[in-house]
Amino acid sequence: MSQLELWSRRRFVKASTLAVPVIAGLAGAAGFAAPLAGSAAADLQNRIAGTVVVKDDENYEVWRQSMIWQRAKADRRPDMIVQAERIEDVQEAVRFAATAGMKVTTRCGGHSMAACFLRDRGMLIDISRLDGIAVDKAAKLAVVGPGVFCRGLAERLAQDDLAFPGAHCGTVPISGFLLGGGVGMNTNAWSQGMSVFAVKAVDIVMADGRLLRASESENADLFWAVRGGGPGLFGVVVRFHLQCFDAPKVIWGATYTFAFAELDAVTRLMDKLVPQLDKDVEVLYSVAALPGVAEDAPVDQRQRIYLDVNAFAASEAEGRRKLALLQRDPLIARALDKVEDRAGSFDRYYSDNEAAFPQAYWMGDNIWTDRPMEAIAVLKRHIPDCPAPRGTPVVLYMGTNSMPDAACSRIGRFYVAYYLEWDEPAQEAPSRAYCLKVFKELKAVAKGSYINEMDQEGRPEDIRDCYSPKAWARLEQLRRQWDPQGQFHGFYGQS
Amino acid sequence: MKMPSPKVGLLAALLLFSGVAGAKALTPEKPADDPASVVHQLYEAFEHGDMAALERLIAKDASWTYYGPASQLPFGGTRHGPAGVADFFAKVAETLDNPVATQLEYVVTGDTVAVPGTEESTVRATGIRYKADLVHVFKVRNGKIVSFEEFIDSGKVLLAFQGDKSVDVSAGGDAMATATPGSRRLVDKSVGKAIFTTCAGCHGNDAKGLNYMYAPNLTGQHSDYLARQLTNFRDGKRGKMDDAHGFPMVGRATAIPGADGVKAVVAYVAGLPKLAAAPVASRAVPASIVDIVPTCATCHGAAGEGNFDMQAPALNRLDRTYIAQQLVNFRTGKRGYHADDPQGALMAASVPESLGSDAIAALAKHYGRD
Ligand SMILES: Cc1cc2nc3c(=O)[nH]c(=O)nc-3n(C[C@H](O)[C@H](O)[C@H](O)COP(=O)(O)OP(=O)(O)OC[C@H]3O[C@@H](n4cnc5c(N)ncnc54)[C@H](O)[C@@H]3O)c2cc1C
Repeated sequence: MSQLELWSRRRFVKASTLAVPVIAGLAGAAGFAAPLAGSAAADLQNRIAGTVVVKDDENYEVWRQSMIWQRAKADRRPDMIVQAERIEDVQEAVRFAATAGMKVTTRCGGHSMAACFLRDRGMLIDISRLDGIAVDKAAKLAVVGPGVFCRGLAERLAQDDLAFPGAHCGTVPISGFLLGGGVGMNTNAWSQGMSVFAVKAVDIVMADGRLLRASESENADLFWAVRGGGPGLFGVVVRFHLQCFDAPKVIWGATYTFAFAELDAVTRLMDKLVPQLDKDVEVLYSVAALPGVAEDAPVDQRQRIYLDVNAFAASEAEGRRKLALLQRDPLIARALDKVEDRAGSFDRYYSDNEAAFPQAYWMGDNIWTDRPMEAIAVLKRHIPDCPAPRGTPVVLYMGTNSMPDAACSRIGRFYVAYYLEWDEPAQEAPSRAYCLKVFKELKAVAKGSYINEMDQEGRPEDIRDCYSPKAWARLEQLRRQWDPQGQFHGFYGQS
Repeated sequence: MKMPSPKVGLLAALLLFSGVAGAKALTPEKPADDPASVVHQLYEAFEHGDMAALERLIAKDASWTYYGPASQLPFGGTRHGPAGVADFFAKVAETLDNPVATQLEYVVTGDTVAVPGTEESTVRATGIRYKADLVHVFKVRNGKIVSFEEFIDSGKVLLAFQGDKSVDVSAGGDAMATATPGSRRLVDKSVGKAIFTTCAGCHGNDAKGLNYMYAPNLTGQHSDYLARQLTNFRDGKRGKMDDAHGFPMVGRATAIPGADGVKAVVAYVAGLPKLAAAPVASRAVPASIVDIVPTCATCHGAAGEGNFDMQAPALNRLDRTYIAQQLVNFRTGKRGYHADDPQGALMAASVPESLGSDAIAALAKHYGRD
């Protein structure tokens, strides 16, 4: 080994600005400031490695907006934003908030389309920088920081021939995704319908700043709340302990494009045939506008149905076998276009999927339902009137698992979501009004909604329908027990 | 490297204050020889593996002491001169993995500089990761370090060598290692850091790239290049849908608030500690690409260090996978396709269709970081 290599082995990282004379006088430079001595911010800032930003700070507005991943920026203003650098920062911040009489919310990826973490008062703790993945291959366990993205987790686990039911979009961090339940990949086979049931334990900072482990054997009631409590959780999860699974050797898939007129037929296939497939075959369809077709063109000309089938298989042969039943259905022969024999990987899955997810201005809503035909009948009536330039319904078969007793207590055979995307600010209000109208109507065929993609701003009164009445009551009771002072904000619209 | 404009240069220099590179930007041409600056240069040399600087900074008869039982801690005890210091680091390299050190502040008294901090390492033999508080005390005379003492909680280090799990900080694994808060410090609340929030998930908190997100290292890269690429992603000049790992950048770059936002986030990255460049100059050029390398060097420099005037990025800061992918992208029309991206178009024109995967792999290996 050369001397040069030896030297560079010992990597030195400087944590902070040096107190050398040369920097004196720069405290006033743009962007850099020691917080006002004696101010609340300074008290906290002195104790943490992260960054404290308060409303009076020059750059507060950019910080506030940076907390929201999408481009539509909800207009709510917390008093203080704390970007944590380490777990201890979270503990300090929560303790500080308690003393200062501030309520707390948590933000990780900021993907919540309602930006439900953003409230008009109190402290927002950003934990997105808490990352890191440690894998115990033999035990098939991974300890993962909340800020890790699902794509990164999939790639890292693949190095050890393992996998986890992450979100369908690679840029979603595991944090909010899992806590709200997680409509993840291959959950029908891997995790009893929802990804959160593959969480073995979490490390969570409580209202008094303590760091606790919650699992089935430790603080079991807290663990009950963690598994699905989502934006109503009374603590900050700083580490996830995940159960991993043997990685599929191939994600064997096909995509079929149908005319809009086949909507009933495709839905019927989902309802009747898809449940007969193996549990590790994931089937969903979306309805999306063809690019380049005028927005006012008749719906038959503009909209297409994309049926996507993926088998998480041990071999190509197994993948072929798993898809065969579906491929023999007469409907498949009527596809306008098709991609078959797709030998996919998580990398390919995430790459192919990326474009389908809205990156700009968007909102949406969803229901759980056992009655897809009726749900689609409602949607079909409304789709032609959609005021957003891009409106995309998605229907995903979830399976018929009985879920463990946890806050995550609502699911249906089908997940029906509708995403609306717009380009101009003027399109926002009509899009929101339209979505609200459609989903108030869909409630008649719904078994509640999935909290993570629910229109919390539009219909906050229905948030409780994301939980069974029993689970909702227990969540309330556990909140009083674990957070008696009401240190954490409750669900959106509640505090 | 020439700065794109005096204004950006100034901003970058100010922003640099949160990182190692900060003092570098303010260091005059001839390195200052006051004790704090000398110590600072030494830490920089550590980071970059810069042997020449070490030879320059450490006095021939310097003493180098690590307080701890030399019989059990291979790097314990006192050593002398640059050779002794090299031996110290050899022992460190043989026994410790992933060492990370932080320095909290410099306390300067006459010719003495005390640097409180922490060190965190995994003992290779036991797998135990310790984190110990320490103070480095340097004495500097005539611009050279004449003595170094490391007062470290070596009891903890010893326990880690003895396999005592009570000192293990790796509960969440090495990857969970986090920074230590500083005491008297300015806090970066800049627009750039705020915006970087949306970059960190893929490029890492320190912008050094995350291979599992297919996201390259951004540190040490030319700022004008970073700004141009962000703008390209925003303006549809890069990140076509079939550019699998480039496409996600379109949404993120577009989420940056305006051209000023682009400047701010690039300036923030410019101020972060830099990942060491690949030692391209010391690598032999494989025969298979001996004819191609001179073409690359015309724009990217002999060591792949990039060239501001040619608007060519530093290749030696990028990882091999990324370089290979970009070469494929240029060759297959996924990058450099837009009439309004002359730099990209030039690069696309320079990658012949005949450039095969073996040559691409060899080029990536030659210029890229491991
Ligand atoms: C492009 C895109 C694709 C998506 N794809 C899917 C998908 O395939 N499947 C799916 O199920 N969902 C999907 N979602 C929805 C996603 O699950 C939610 O937006 C989720 O909130 C994202 O997690 P986050 O960490 O960004 O949460 P944030 O938006 O940062 O936070 C949302 C709420 O979660 C709570 N929270 C988050 N982290 C913590 C924590 N560590 N401790 C305590 N509370 C916390 C907070 O109360 C916060 O109010 C998608 C969203 C987007 C934007």
